[in-house]
Amino acid sequence: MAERKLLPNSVVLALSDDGGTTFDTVVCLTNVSTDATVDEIDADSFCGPDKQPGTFNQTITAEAQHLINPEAGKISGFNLKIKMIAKETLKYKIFTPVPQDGDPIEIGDCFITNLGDTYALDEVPSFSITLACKGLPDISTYEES
Amino acid sequence: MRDNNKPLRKAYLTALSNINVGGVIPVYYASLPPDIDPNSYIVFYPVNNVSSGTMQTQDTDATIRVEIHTFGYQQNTGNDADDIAAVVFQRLLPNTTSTLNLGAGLQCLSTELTDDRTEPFDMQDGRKYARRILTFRHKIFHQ
Repeated sequence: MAERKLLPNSVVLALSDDGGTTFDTVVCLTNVSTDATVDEIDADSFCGPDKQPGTFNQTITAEAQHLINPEAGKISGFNLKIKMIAKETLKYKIFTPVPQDGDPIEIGDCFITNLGDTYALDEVPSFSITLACKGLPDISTYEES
Repeated sequence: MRDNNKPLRKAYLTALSNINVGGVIPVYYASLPPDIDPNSYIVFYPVNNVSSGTMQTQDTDATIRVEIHTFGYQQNTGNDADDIAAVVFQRLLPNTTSTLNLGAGLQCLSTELTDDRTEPFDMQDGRKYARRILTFRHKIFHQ
């Protein structure tokens, strides 16, 4: 498998409210980013200072433009806000819709912790969303058959 | 990605046709035909596009320049250019949510006036010439 870089605009975010059977892609995305951390646990003793790895935490943020009446398989800001108000636990997937051999696929559980709309002068109305991940994600790679 | 130039040109021709300011003001695309010399006319110029898409859509911001040319014998106060501009604004930008119908596959999301200039008056072949230049920008969603 030859070395290569991921293509710009190729990685998107999709969410599932049925446990991962079907995913709806967040449409008109302008950014997707993740921020993963592992807590540091103080493990100092009389033998000296020490640290141990603690809990894995991750948040996902995405920015997109609002799309009205999204088609099947797509989701946008207003429907996401409904899921946020309902406090639904969702499955997320970060993936490449047109994958190449070796492309990463990340799937995990999450819930929406923040959703902000922006209606600015002469700008396309947009929103930003933050997802808090629950547990550990499953990270795999796409393999061409 | 779709081509938005031809739908925009058609929409502009429709919007700017039959403007009546002391007579119907002829409208042309790109240049004035060589065999005519009207006292007042409008020329709108080719579309300039820049990409404004998202990860899943190939949208554009399209810019079009509209020039209003008026001539007067000895005198030209600029009134005709301003009166024609007033109608152009009513046709293209009557309110803050004005859009154009670009047909299937394209949605005009906005219309903005990005520039409005009145050129210094000068004399051309014994006539006083006044020109007002309007530049509009449209955000276009390529469905």
